[in-house]
Amino acid sequence: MELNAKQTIAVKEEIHRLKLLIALDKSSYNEKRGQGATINDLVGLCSEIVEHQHQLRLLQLGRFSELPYVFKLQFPL
Amino acid sequence: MYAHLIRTESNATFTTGTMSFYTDSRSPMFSVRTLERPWLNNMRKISCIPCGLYLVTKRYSLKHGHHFLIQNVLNRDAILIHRGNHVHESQGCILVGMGLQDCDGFKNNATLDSRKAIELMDLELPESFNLFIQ
Repeated sequence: MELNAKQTIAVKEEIHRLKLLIALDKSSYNEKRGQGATINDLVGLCSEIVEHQHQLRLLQLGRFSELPYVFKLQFPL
Repeated sequence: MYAHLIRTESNATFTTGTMSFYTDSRSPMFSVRTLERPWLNNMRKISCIPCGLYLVTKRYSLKHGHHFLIQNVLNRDAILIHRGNHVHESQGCILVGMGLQDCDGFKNNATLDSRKAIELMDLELPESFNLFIQ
């Protein structure tokens, strides 16, 4: 799919935002593990990381139609 | 730390097991379930890999996301631990999940929450570790 200039910027910004979110999620995960939380306690946080990683990968692969609804609005097929 | 994969069931279509991770002091960390190809004499693309001790290292690619490379597998290349739900998604690699389920009523097992299992491994495991497959 060919992206216009606006869409290209939107993708770059979204990739940047997701990378930051993942870094924050991982930092939070490691901090809580350091404070003694068990892996079972942190399954929810792990799910969030998984979702963000998945969205990031879809963006990087250009599979925009599989992205969540709000972001997909910028890529009408 | 190290990992221990115990293969619990093997038939003509798949091999299932449990991969457990332990600290250097042998305390259990966590476990994931595994799904592999059946044992077909280590034939490329269609057989699971032989039992033994392997060095495993972390990697990332757009195709597989976070995954792990199993090094120095006899007569095999690019054997990975990666996400995937069905045995046909593996060409000898080890698929991992938080659980296994009977996906079609014919006991063709599928992994559950595979991405979560890989993410957990990425968060918890060091850059390289030993894997003993039994």
